[in-house]
Formats: sequence, structure tokens, C-alpha cells
Amino acid sequence: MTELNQPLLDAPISGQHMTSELGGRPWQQAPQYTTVDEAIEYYLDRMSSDEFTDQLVDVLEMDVPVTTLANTIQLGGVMDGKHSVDVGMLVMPLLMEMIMLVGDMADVKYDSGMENPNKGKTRDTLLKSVKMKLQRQIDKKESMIFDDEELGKSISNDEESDEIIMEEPQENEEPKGLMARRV
Amino acid sequence: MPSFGNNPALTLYRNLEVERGDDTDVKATRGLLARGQADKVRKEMDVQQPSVRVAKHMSIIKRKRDEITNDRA
Repeated sequence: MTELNQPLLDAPISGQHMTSELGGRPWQQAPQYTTVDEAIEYYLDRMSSDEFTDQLVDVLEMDVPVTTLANTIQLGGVMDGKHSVDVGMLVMPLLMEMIMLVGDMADVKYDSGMENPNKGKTRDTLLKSVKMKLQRQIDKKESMIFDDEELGKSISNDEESDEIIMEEPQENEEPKGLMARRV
Repeated sequence: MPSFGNNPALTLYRNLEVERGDDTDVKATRGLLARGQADKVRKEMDVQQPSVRVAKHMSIIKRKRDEITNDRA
């Protein structure tokens, strides 16, 4: 499942890819670490340094989700030409675990980014479906009332028309009898 | 103002949790004449797969994390 509530920390500027020669960037070269083991070793070395750990704890205290941090770190590795995107994807869960380990060791309350941010909230889709159901019921009731009115009107119209029909033959009735005048 | 993109970290983490399966320790056999079982166990665990290798690393770190949290509790 995709997660949409992740801030993109370092987005490129439009057209930035055309500002240097092809192969001029580290990620356009062959990666330095080609296997998962090499990449893990690189990250474990890097993450075990005091400087990195201190910075990581500071960032975790700022409530930056672990998922975002792991993604940013592996993306940085790709940009530096350390490993390919594929290796980065494979290594990312391990980075998350490492970050959480550092957080636990420093006794920091961190946001793992794995909880559903919409938990406890009423779903928009549920609200819309309830609204639609209510609207249908209202429409149905209105149409029933309208039908009744129509029926009432039609009944009264029928009665009137009957009267008219009854009256009409009286008007057209020709006088009968021996002494009657013909029109 | 942060923009919103797609982060695959959560999905990858959950997939690897499935991959990790049961946490099993490989115990070395003792004695000079004992037959090595490491290769057999490795084959059974499918360690040649990169994702499984990562999952095994993860399980080690996870165990360490659990130890820390249990000690605090």
C-alpha cells in the first residue's frame, strides 16, 4: 500500500537534469556497492558513528517519521552513487530497524510512520455513502408525495371530466317530440 | 511547506516482516569429527536471496530492540 502523508524533503528543480553532461553525476555512474551485503556494511558503519547517531536522535525528537528518514537516507546513498535504487529498496527496511534501534537506545519517543494517520477519524467515503443513502430516501419520499398529489389531482380531474361528459350530451341532445323545432 | 510524495518504506518493511518468518538460530555442531550443518541450514533458509539476507539482519536488530524495550519495562 502506498503512503501519501510523507513530506518530500529534497525535490529536484524542473530541468535540473539538463544542467550537466550525461554521466557527470554520481548516480549516473556504476554504483560503488553492488550487493546488499556491501550496502548493509556501508550503512552500519555510517550509522554507528557518534556524530550520525546524535543527529539522528535530534531529528527523531522533531517527530520526523522513521519511514521518511529511511527513505531519505537511502535516496542520499543513490544520489552519492553508493548503490543502485534496487539495492536501496532492499536495504530500506534494515535502515528503519536501525533508526528505531538508535531511538530505543536513546530512549526517544519516535514516530515510526507505520500507524495509520486516519485512525479514529470517520472515513470520508463512509460519510459520502451515508449522505447518498439519505438523499435517495428523501428523493423517494418526495416522489411518493408528488405521486399522491398527482393521483389526487387526476381523480378530481376525472370527476370534473365526467361531469362535463355528462353535460355535453345534454347540450347536443336534439329536441324530440312532434311539436319540437328543428335547428 | 513540505510536499507529499510516495514513500515505499512502510510497504517494504511489512513485506520483509513476512519474509523474516520464524527467528531461528544456527547452532554450530561440536567436536572435531562432527559434520558441518551450516551449508544445509543455509540452503533451507534460502539465504542466497537478498531479501532473506536483509530479513535475517533485521531479525538480529529487532531482537536487540526487544531486549532494550523489555529491560526498560
